[in-house]
Amino acid sequence: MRGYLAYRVMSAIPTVLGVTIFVFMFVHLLPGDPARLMAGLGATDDSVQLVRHSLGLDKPLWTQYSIYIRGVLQGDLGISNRDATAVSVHLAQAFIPTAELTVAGIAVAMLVGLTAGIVAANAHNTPWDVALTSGAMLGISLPSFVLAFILIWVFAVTLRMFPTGGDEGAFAIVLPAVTLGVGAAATIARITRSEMLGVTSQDYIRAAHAKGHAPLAVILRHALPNTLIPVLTVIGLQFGFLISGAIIVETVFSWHGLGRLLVDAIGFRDYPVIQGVVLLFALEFIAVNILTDVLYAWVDPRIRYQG
Amino acid sequence: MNTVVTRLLRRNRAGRLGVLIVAAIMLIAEFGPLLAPYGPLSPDYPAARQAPTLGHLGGTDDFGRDILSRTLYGARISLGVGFAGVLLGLIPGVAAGLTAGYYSGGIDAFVMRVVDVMLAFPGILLAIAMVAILGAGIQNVVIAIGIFGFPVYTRIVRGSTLQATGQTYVEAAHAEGARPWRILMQHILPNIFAPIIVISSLQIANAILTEAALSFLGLGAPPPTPEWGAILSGAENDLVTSPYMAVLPGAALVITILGFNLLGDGLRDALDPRMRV
Amino acid sequence: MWLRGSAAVLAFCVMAILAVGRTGAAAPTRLIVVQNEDANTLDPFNDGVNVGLGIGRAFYNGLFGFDATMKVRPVLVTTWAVSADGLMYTFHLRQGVTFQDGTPFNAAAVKANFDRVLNPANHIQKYGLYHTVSGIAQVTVVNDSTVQMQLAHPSATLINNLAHPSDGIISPAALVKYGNQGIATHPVGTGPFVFESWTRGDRIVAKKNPHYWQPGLPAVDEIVFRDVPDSTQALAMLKTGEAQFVYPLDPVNVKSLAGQAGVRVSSTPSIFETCLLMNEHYAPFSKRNVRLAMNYAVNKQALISTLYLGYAREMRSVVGSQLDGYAPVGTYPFDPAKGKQLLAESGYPNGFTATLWLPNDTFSQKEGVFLQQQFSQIGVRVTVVPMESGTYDTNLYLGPDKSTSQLILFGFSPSNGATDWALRANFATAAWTPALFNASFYSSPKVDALFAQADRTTSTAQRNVYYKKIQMIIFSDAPWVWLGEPLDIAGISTRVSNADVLPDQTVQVQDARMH
Repeated sequence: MRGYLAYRVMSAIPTVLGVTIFVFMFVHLLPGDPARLMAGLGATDDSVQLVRHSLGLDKPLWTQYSIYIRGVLQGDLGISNRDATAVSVHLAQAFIPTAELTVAGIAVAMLVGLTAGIVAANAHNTPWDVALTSGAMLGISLPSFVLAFILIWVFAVTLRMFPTGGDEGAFAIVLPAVTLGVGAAATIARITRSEMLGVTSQDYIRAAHAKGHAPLAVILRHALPNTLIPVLTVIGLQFGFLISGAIIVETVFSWHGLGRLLVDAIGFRDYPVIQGVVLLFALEFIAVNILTDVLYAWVDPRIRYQG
Repeated sequence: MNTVVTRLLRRNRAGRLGVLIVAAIMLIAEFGPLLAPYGPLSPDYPAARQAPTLGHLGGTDDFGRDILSRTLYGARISLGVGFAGVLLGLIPGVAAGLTAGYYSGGIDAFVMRVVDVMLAFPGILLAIAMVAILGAGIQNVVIAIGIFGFPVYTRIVRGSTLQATGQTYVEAAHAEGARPWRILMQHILPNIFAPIIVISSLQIANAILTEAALSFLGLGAPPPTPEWGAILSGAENDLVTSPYMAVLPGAALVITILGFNLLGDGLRDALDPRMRV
Repeated sequence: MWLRGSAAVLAFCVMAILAVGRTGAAAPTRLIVVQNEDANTLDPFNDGVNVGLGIGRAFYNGLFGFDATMKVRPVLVTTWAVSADGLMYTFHLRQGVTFQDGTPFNAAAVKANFDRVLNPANHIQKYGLYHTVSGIAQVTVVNDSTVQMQLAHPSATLINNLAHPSDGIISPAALVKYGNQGIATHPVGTGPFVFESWTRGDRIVAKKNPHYWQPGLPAVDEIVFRDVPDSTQALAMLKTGEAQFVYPLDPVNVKSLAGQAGVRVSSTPSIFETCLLMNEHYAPFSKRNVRLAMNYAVNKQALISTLYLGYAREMRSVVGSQLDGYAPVGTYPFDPAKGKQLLAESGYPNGFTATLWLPNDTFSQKEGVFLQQQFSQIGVRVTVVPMESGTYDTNLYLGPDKSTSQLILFGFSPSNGATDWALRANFATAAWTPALFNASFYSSPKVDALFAQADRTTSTAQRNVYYKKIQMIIFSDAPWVWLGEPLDIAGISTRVSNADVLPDQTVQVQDARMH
C-alpha cells in the first residue's frame, strides 16, 4: 500500500513540473503588458521600463522560469505585482473560502446523488425512477450561471430563505454550494443507480432479501458497499471538476475564493498570482486523483497498478 | 448498425427523446432563418423591451430585436461551434490516443504526461486564456473547446486501444506481418468506434455549454452575434425587470444540451451498456 | 423539494464548519457599501482607480477635499496664500491632528508625503499629477504648522489636485514601518476610520477612529466596503437589506426598486463622459469631414433613451458640464444624410470599414452594437472587438508608432474636477499616449498655444476664456464623437444620509449617518 502511494506521488512529479512550464508559458503569452498596467495609465515609457526591470520581466524567458521554479522549490511563490504582498498570503486568504465551497459542493453532490441513485435503483421502472433519472439528466444539462440566477431569485430575493452570496453568515454558502454541486450530484446519481441495478440482481442480494432482512438494511449493508468502487471513482473525478467549476460560481456569487482571485489577477496581468493559483488548482486536482486511486486500491486490494 | 438504431429508437425512451431533440435542433439550425419572423440584428427602438405579444412571441430586447428570431438564428451558431469544437479536439485526440495505446512505452508515457498536465489545468481557465490570447471570436472559441477536449479523447481512445490491442485478432494480424498503420486502421479503429461516438455526443453537449459560459463571461462570439450565451449575458441585468428576455435562449440552451446528453446516453446503452465513458 | 431538504442538512453541516473563527457579534451601526470592483491599492498616491480612491477617504484626509458637488474645501489646511507670480504657495495646517498610529500631523508629515511622490525613483503613480501637471518643484517646512510649495511653472489646478482623493496624507511613521509597497495594504492616515482588514475580492473593513479631530464624526461604528461585481446580486443585496449603499446601480434595475420601502435611488450628474475616439492616423479619420460625418451619424438621444434609459445627458461641449471652466459650445445634430454627403465629399461615397475596440463588459458591448447600427446608416461598416480589460488597457495606451486602433470606446473622468485636466490630458499634443490619454493623436498648434497661455495666468476668469476657445476649436475639429454624460445612479437605504457619489464617480461615505 505504502509503496503504491509512493509510486503515485513520484509519478505526479513530472506532471506538476509540466504544469509549471505550461502556466509559465501561458501567462507570458497573454497579451497585455503587466509593467504598463502596474506603472499606471499615463506613465512614461521610461518609467514603464523601470517597472519592467524591477519586476524582472526584461530578463530572458528561460532565466525568468528558472528563477521562478527555484523559488517554487523553496516554497517561495513570488510577490504579487499588484500590491507587493507575497503570493502565498493571497493564496492562503483565498484558499479557505474555496475549500469550504468545494467541500460543501461535494457534500451536496454526494448527499443528493447517492440518495437519488439508491432510490431510483430500488424503485426501478416506477415513476420515481423516471422522475429522478430525468432530474439527473437535467441537472447535468443546466449551465451553472443559469442555475445560479434561478436560485438567487427564487430563494434569496423572492422567498428570502438564504443570503444572496458573499459570506454574510453561515447560510450564505447554501446557494453557491447547491449551484456547484448539482451537476456532480446528477452524475453521481446516474452511476449509483446503474451500479445498484447491476448489484441488486445478484444472487447474494436476492438471498438477503429472501432471508427476510429489512429492505433498507439490505441496501445499505449489502448492496451499497459493492457499488463503492465505481461510485468512488466518479466522486473523485467530480471533485476535481468542482475545483475548476468554482471559478464561475465564485464570480456569480461574489465568493472571494481562488476563482475570483484568479480572474482579477488575469485582468491585472499579475503573473505571480496567476501562476500561484493555477499551480494550487493543479496540485489539488492531482492530489484528489491520487487519493481516489489509493482509496480504490484500498477498497479493492486486487487493484494495484493502473498504468 | 441496424440493430443499434433499432435498440436506440425502440427500446430506449430517453434515447428516443434525445434523437428527437437533436433532430429538431438540427432542423432549426438549418431552417431557423426561414422560420424567424424578423432579422436577428434589425433594431426597432420604439419596440424595445416588450414583454411577449403575438407580434413578438418571445418579447424584444433592449434594441427592440425579436428574441425568438435571435434564438432561432442562434441554433446554427451553437451547433456549429459544438460540432467544430469537438472535431478539432477529436482528430488529434484519436491520433494521439491510438499511438499511445498501440505503441506504449516511451511515446505512451509522454502522451499521457501531457494529458495529465492538461487535465490538471482548470478547463475554463484554459478557455479564458486561449480567448484572451487569440482575441474574442467564434473561431477562437472553437479552438479553445478543441484544446479543452483533446485530453479527454486521448485518454479514452488510449484505454480502448490498449484493450483492443490485446485481442487475438490483432495479435493474429501482427503474426501475419501486417503493418502497424493497417492494423490500427483496419482492426483497432473500428473496434473503438463505439466509445468515440458516445463520447463525441456527450462532448458536443459540453462544448455548447462551454461556449455559452465563455459568451456569458464576455469572451465568446463578438456582438451582435445572436449566440445563446451572449443573448443570456445581455439579458442578465434585465433579469429582474424583464425576465422573459432570458427564457427562450435559456430554454434553447438547456434543451439542446439535454438532447445531446440523452443521445449520448442512449447510444451508450444501445452500443454497449457496460461501456465506461 | 430535494433542494430544500438538502439545503437544510447542508446548512447544518456548514454552520458547524463555519462557527469556528466567525463570531457574529453585530456592531451597533454598520454601513455596508457595495461597489462592483475591489480596490487596487489603499495607497492613495499610487491609485488610479475610483473604487480605491473613494474607499481611501475613510482612512485619509487630504490637504483639501471636495464637497458633494465637488466644490473644493480646505481639510487639513486652514488658510493659504499664493505669491504674485503664482509660483509659491504657503499653507497653514490644521493643528491638534494626529495620525491613527499616534504620530502628530505637521508640516514635516506633509513634506514627507510629497517628497515621496515627487521622487521618480519611487515610481508612484501620481508623480505625473503632482510633478508634471501641478509643477511642484520643492516642499519646504517653514515651521511645525506651515509648509510651502515651490512650483516650477504656474499651475491652474494645484488646489484642485490637492483636493483630489489621491492626496491622502499618510503617516510618515507608517511609511517607514511598512515601506513604499507595504503601505498599499496598511493604510494609516488622519481620517475618520481606522483600517481593520482587507479580504481581496470581498471586503475592506473600516472601524471608527475614536480620536478623530472633527467633532461628531464619524457617525457610524463601522463601514464595510464590499466588492460585488454582479449587478443582479448587488441589487438583490439592496433589496434584502444586506447592503445600505450600492453604486453603481444599473439603469434597468431602477424600475424594480420603485415601491421598494426603505430604499431611495439617487441620480446625480457626473463629470464622466462617454465618447468614441477616432485615431487620426487611420486614413479616413485624418480628414475632418469624415470625423464630422461620424458625429452626424449618431443619434445621441436614441442612445440615451435606449441604453441609459434616460439616465444620461447629451453633451454640449468637449468636456463635462459639471466642470468649472465648461463652456457650452455646441452639439452635432443627428443628420445621417449630411453625414453621407460629407463622406462622399471626402472621397468615401461607399463608406469604409473600421474596427471598434471596447471593454468586454455587457454594457460597453451593447453600446458598441448601437454605434455599429448608427454608422451603418452612413455606410461605415464597423466590426465590434470586445477586449478583456488587461488587453484593452494595454492596447489603449500604445504610442503613435505602435497603435493599430481605429475606433475606441472610451470613458474619461477628470478626477481633480478641473477643466484644464479634462482638456489637456486628452487633446494636447504632449498628451499623446502613452504619455497621457490622447489616443486619437489629435494635434492642434492653436490648442497647444492656448494651453501655454493658460499656464501663464493666475486669474481663473482669464483662464476660463482660454479654455472656452480651446473647447470651440476641439469641437470644430471633432477628434471624438461625444456620446453623453451618464448620471451616477446609486441605491441608498433611507436610513442613511450624508453618503454620496461625487461627480467624479468616487464614493464619499466617511461622514455618513445612520438613523
